[in-house]
Amino acid sequence: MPQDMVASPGFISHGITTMITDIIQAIFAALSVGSMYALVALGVTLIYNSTNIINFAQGEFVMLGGMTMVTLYGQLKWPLYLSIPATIAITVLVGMGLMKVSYRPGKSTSLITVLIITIGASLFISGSALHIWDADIHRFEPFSGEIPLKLLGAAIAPQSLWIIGLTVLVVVLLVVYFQFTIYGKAMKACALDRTAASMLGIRVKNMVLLSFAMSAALGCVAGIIMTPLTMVDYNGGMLLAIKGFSAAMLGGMGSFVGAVIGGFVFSFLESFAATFVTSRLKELVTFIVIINVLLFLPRGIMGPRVKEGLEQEEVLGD
Amino acid sequence: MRKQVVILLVILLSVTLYTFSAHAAEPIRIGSPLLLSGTGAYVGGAEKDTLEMMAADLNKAGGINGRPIEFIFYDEEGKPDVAVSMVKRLIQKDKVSAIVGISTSWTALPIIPIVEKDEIPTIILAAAIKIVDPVKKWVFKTPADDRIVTSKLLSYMQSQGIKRIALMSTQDGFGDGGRSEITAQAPSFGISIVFDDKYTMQDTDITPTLSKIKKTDAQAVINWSSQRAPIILTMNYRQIGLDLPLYQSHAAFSKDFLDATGKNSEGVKTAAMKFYGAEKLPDSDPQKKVILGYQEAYKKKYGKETNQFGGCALDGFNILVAALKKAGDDKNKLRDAIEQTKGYVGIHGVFNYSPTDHGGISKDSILMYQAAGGTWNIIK
Repeated sequence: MPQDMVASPGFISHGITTMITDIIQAIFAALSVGSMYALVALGVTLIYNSTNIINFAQGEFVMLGGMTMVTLYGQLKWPLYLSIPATIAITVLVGMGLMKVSYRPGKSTSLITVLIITIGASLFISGSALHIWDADIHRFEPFSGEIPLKLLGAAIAPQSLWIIGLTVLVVVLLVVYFQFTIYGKAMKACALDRTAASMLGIRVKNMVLLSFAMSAALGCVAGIIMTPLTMVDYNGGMLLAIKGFSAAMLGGMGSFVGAVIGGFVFSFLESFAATFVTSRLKELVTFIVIINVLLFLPRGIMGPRVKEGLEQEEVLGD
Repeated sequence: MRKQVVILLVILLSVTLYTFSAHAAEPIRIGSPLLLSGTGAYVGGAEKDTLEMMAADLNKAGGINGRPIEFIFYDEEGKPDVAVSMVKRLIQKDKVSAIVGISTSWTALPIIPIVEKDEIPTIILAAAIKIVDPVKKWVFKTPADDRIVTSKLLSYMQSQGIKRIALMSTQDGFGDGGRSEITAQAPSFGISIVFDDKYTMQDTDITPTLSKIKKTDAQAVINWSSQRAPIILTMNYRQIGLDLPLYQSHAAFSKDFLDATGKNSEGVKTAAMKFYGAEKLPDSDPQKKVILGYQEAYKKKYGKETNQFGGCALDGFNILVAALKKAGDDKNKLRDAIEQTKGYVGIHGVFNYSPTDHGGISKDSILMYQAAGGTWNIIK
């Protein structure tokens, strides 16, 4: 060890403290941003699992949740226990409407067509929001004030704790739902094999409707808890959907655990790149990693390790 | 027989009407591509409302030497390619005499070569200094630009004894424009930039980057970004307890910024136009009456508040109309008349165009403001 560093232990400990503060700050930022990505990715996964549809309108549920909450809670001053259920109910209705237009079992609509339908729905919803509300950026007061909490010099907004806490709760509820309830199992069955599931008496269409409703509710909850920190405007949905979709891809399309992991990998990369490289190169660093992950693990981190399509045929040919 | 008479009458009537209308004063057509959708729709919205209001009043009062003025609005969507095709359409299909419009700097720059080539007098409502520097023969602009605002800001900081600053900006036309002006001008005010990092408009948490500023010896922070970015930056800034004075660009200078950031905005300083603090201006300021009069007229007509962008449109409209009244719609004469605009007291300054200055306003049209108790107060 060089002499001068030994000679000034104070300097070293100061350097280490600021380093630790930086790391904790980066983790705080990553946790709250990652929760957002994870909630959107979970919504994308829910619908993908029951229908194979990649729903690019998922971000619109987030936007709708935020905007409706701005009106009910921020402007009309409804109490939280009324405004949250009302907001979720409205968004769920929109989600069910989306299912009616995008899901056509038995009709030979290609995946691309359905994809375009969801993109169209996304534009339709954000366009309608522009007319219902306006083009301004909105926000309402956080649930537990704005005085940041400090840990070793790093600060976190109380609202971030709501975001992280609710994300954990949502993940736990989803796991319980799919593992231990008959509806959850039925939905999983639909995802595995729709025809077989319907032969066993599961009403596939109802399950699909339920998955759209749940997905809308998820997006809505994300919108409600995020808005005090990130603001909401009618136009923000598509970008969120793309981030959520990328997170779901990274984690492995179709896997709930993967969606959550994907969301956090995304946010941690962004946050640490901003801290230790420069935020100028944040996106670059993030996407270099993601492209590499997908090159070497084409089905994402938690994706199924089975071969499909042409690859499968090769296997059969052996 | 009666039926034929009726048909004949109708034909006669329409022919007369047609010839009559052809002889009636032909409207002067002005093209106006504005940002009318997307997050920035409030920018073009206020501009369009203002132009429509002014045109209606002008036409009611007899138009320009008896000819009504007609605006053709298109949505440029904030996209360079859309702006280019809309401008081409205005010139080739709609045959406009002049253009007043283009809401953003990044859509303004790509349309300049087109109006220069087709020689259309154009008053742009976006701020970037590159629009008029170097001077383009056919292009003028009304908003205060980064150069004027940053020079006011830096001279104020110098007067406060600030020598080292940290600079944050977004990676877009607005952020880059401000950043390059600050970087270029800072040395002449004896200010050095000790930290310089960028973020994007989509970022929702910039605490990791901001907390790096704590480790520098900067005495103040300048943030140059627009739309929601200054709001998020201010919240994050307070969240991590950064206690250096925070200076924002003029994009943060709005009621929306104060509403969205609440108590967090307390103490934030900015250099901006006189637009929002007009009632606090001394009566000796000639702009006071103009600004308040416009704000009142807009509110009366539309039942809502206008914004500074609407003000840019008003200035563009008045300058163009004065030139049209003087020179008619011959494009060469019109251009010369716009360039000869002198002493027009507008929303964003007192305009004096010249062959070497198509921006028209000076540093004197900018004031320093500080947020306190939910309003912007003028500071010296």
